[in-house]
Amino acid sequence: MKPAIKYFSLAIILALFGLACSKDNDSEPDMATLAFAFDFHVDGESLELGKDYTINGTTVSFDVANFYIGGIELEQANGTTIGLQNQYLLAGLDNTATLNGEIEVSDISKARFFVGVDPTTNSQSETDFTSRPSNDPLGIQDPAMHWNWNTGYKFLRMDGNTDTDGDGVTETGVAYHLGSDPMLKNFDLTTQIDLEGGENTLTFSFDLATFFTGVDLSTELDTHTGNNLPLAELLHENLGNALTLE
Amino acid sequence: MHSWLTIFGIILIIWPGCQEPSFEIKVPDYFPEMKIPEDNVPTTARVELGQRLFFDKSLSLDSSISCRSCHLPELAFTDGKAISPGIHGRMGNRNSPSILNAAYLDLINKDGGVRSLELQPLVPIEDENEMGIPIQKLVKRLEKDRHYQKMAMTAYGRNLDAYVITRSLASFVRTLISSDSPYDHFMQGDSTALSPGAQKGLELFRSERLNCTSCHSGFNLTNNQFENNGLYQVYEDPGRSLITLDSVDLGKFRVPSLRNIAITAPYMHDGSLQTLEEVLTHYQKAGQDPTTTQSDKLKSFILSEEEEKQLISFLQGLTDSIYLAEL
Repeated sequence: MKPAIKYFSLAIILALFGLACSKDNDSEPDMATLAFAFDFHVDGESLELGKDYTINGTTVSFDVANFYIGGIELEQANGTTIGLQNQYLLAGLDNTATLNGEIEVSDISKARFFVGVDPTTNSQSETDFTSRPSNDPLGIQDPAMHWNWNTGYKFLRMDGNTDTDGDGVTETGVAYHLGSDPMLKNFDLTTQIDLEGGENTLTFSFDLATFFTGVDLSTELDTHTGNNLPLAELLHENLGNALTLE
Repeated sequence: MHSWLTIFGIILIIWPGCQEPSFEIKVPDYFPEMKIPEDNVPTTARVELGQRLFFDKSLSLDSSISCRSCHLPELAFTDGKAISPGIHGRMGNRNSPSILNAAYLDLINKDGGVRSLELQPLVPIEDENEMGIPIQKLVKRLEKDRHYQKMAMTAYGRNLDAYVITRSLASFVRTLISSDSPYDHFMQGDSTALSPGAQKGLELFRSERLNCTSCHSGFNLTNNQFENNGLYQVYEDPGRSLITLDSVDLGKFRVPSLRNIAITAPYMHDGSLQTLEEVLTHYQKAGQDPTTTQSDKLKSFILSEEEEKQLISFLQGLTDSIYLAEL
């Protein structure tokens, strides 16, 4: 089975930082590229769209598994903080792998980011998603990551089908959409990532079984956040454990 | 040399939009200043494109309904139904609102979830119970229409896309102003514009006893706030709390303008009250049994038969029919 690890590009164009560790003054520091990879799985089994899985005793499949990551800030051992507050990634199984940008080689000790979209951008008050180019993760997506009835983005979208009558057939649609400012989820991960010159990958693990902890998927069929706030809040809480750094 | 060519190219692209004459939205001087986004100043081309889209059934998935289907000009842009059927007869859960004077709304829709008129068209277009077509799919459909493409280029200096569709529809809706009712004429000094009975009704409307103006005030006869008017003890539709995620907003909906109220039945967010008489009965009782979130502006009162007729006569004086002829 092909692992469901897909890569997401992060266009990083950074000036050279002054604290260039042990390099000679006359030489350029080693530079590295960094990609973000996301390993979607269900309790260890790689996620494939349309395939049946069992979560909390219910057979379920997924057609969409997307979420936004923003506010990325990486602390390096050389004292540099790489801030990418204006960069957004759309994590999802259908995204293709690319690797862009260069940063100075120095181990990463902390990774801070959030799942969601910052309140200003989410309000669409400065630029709305129809104004953004098609290659912008915050532009119009297919499947849509914008809400129409509530101005703003779906921070996280999981759609699929579930078995409501226990016959093992996933016949009923499900939709779990988290959005609105209170649903922003901050992450502050302490880590030890050894960067080397050339290509590097930061791999995140997203476990759908953990994400749906405590959710009966045969009865809890949807949340668009406001219409089923208790479920949205539970998923928001679970998200903190479902997304980890490998 | 290359950069000059680029600049020349950009000028060529935006030139058509720059040359379009601006569109004057006729608004009486007692209306407040209209806020218009800098990137969507109305021009004739933009309004015409929006108007064509508004009446085009291609905007629905199965090409069965247009914006007009739920917003009939002859009913002050409502449709006379409790709930409007969407494609395949699908039913939503809210009554179609009038879109007259929508230009003055800061938060659009009954729950205030949409923050600009430019983004509002996406609600009916994409809602599976209304027109049911994702905006990307609609763009692909309409971009094949050479006439639409030409209109888009003239109006916005770009190909037809989601930006053009939403902006032009907003431009058209922004021109739909209601300000020519007998009530307007009366307020501007024509003492005969309202009948004596309607004038008595206006006095009742403004009275502390009825307290109508605590919500229905100002040039548009609304305070533009969100209130729980006590229609239900338990709301199937959570209303404003869907947006704010705050239980204090449960059952709150936008206070609607009373302009054209006599021709926009049925009433309430779900169209559950059929006549103005039923609405007055509801407010005389001050809603259902008070709930924790019911507006404290609701106060019970009793109307005599004559007073009820006078009040309804006043409400009928809010009907403006001038736009029907222009469309």
